[in-house]
Formats: sequence, structure tokens, C-alpha cells
Amino acid sequence: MERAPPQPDWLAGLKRGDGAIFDAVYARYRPGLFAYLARMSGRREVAEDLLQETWLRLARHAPSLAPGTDVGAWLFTVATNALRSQQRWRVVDLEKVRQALFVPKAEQATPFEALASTQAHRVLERGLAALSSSDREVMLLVGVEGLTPTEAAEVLGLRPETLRQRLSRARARLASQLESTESISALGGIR
Amino acid sequence: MMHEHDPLLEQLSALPPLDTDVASAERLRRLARGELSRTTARSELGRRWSALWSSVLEPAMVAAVIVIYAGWGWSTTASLFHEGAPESVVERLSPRETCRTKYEPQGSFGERATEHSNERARCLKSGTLRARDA
Repeated sequence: MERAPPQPDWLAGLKRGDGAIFDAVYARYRPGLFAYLARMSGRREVAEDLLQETWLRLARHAPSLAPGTDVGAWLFTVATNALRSQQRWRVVDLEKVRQALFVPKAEQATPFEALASTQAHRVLERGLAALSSSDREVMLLVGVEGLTPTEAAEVLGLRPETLRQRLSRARARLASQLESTESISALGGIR
Repeated sequence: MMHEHDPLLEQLSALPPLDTDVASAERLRRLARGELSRTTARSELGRRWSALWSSVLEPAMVAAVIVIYAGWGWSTTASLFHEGAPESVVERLSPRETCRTKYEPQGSFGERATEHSNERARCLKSGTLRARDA
């Protein structure tokens, strides 16, 4: 989906509390942020809570944003940090328990597979959900949200070269996941 | 874009968008926008206070400290130099010959200042020291 490109006056408008510019920024980044948080957390209600936290943080810190701040990257950074904080405070990380016990992930549909319009999309959603968090965040930021590797590196606090290496590995793992589910034919060949 | 020629990343970019329902999105928009207004208002108040402080209050406070300190110093010095001494002490401390030489008093600063003041007064009175020398 094509979204309005970021405007150069957004940062200044946010800093002075311009409501119209806030609405424009909200309309531009809310869907992407929600999709990112939902696919990362795997739960819609968690994504909604984190989305609210992200936007309230922007509202509270807008006047003190540094000159030259990329508002989009800043939002994804805050969302990523909120997500990591939320995961850190979970009493039991089910994903780690599953890995420790060598239990394969349950073959059940993610909440987002139901929204997928085609078999190929359903397979991709399932493949993304099966990735580790660090692989999934890279694939979502670059592949789904369309951030450049440099922007994604900034969001994740990595060097661009490190991000490229991680992206390459994550891509290989996702391709392997898709092959292992014998869905490669549904995608018409992805390698 | 990096995934212009990467079929897998192109497939990912074509995934259907996920979004909150319209009511939730609108509620969050209002909430965050209200928070932005409050933050900006507080920030504006802080900015004005900062401007007032740096342009008026801080210089005024610095000036006040300087005036108070200078006043204290002046009054202390003046009290040292205008303190009267008993005549007997002046007589005992001031032989006429010492008026023509550099007077090098001993003792604490207060004592030296008092002695120097008395000596100068005595020398002026006796006519061995002209006013411009004092």
C-alpha cells in the first residue's frame, strides 16, 4: 500500500504542537507501526497497547526532538523498545521454553493468517511467525515496512553492515522455513 | 530500495496491511493529540520562564550579589580605616623620623591597617608628610 511520503516540515510542526501535522504523521505511520507490533508480538491486544504507548511517547517528547530527527525511524525505535520492554517483563517467555525443550512450534494459524487474502500470504505470515524475534524484526522492518537497511539499523541500534548480515541470515531462514512447509510452489518460487 | 530485485522481500512488501479498527484508531488519535497539546503548552511555559530567568532574573540576582558583597567589603574597610585610636597609642607608635621612611607594620591585617591609618594621620598632623604623599 502506498502511503504519503514524509514531509520535511513534520518535525518542526510536531515540535510546536501543530495538530494538523500530528494527524498527518499519525495517518502515515499508524498502520505500519501497528502491523509491525502485531506481527512481532503475535497478539492484537498487545500491539494496541504498545501502539498507544508509542504515540503517547511521541506526544510527550515532540518538543524536545533533536533537529534532523527522522520521525518515522524515531517511532519505530520507540515501538521496538516498548516491545522489548514488554517481552522482558513477561514472567515466562514461551518461545524460549519451547526452544529449551526442543518442542516444535504448534502448527496453528496466527491471528493474521486469517486476514491473508491468498495462500501465498498465509504461508508468508506463518513463516514470519516461525522466525526468531531478531530475525523477524529485521524482515518486517525492511521487507514489510520498506525501511532502508540504514534506517532499520538505526531503529535496531545496529551498524548498517551488521544489519545487512542479519538481514541476509534472516532471509535465508525464512526461505528455509517456507521450503520446509512445502509451500514453495504456492509462492511460485522465491529463491 | 533494497528489495527491488529480491522476490522474497517483494512478497513481504505485498502482504495485506494490518490495522486497528477505526474507533480505536480515532480514540488513540484524540488521546495522543490532546497529550501533544498539553506537552507543548507546558514546554511553552518552560521556555518563557527560561527566557525570563536568563534575561532578567539571573542578571538581577548576579547584580544583587555583587552589590551586597561590595557593600559589605566597603563597610568593613571603612570601619577599619575610620576607627579612632587612643592618642596615647599614636604617640607611642609614631616617632617623627619614621614619617619619612616606608612604614612596614607587623601583625595581623587589622592591626597593620589601624596602625598605618594612625601613623598617616599623625604624620599629616605634624607636617612631616604632605597630603599628596599620604
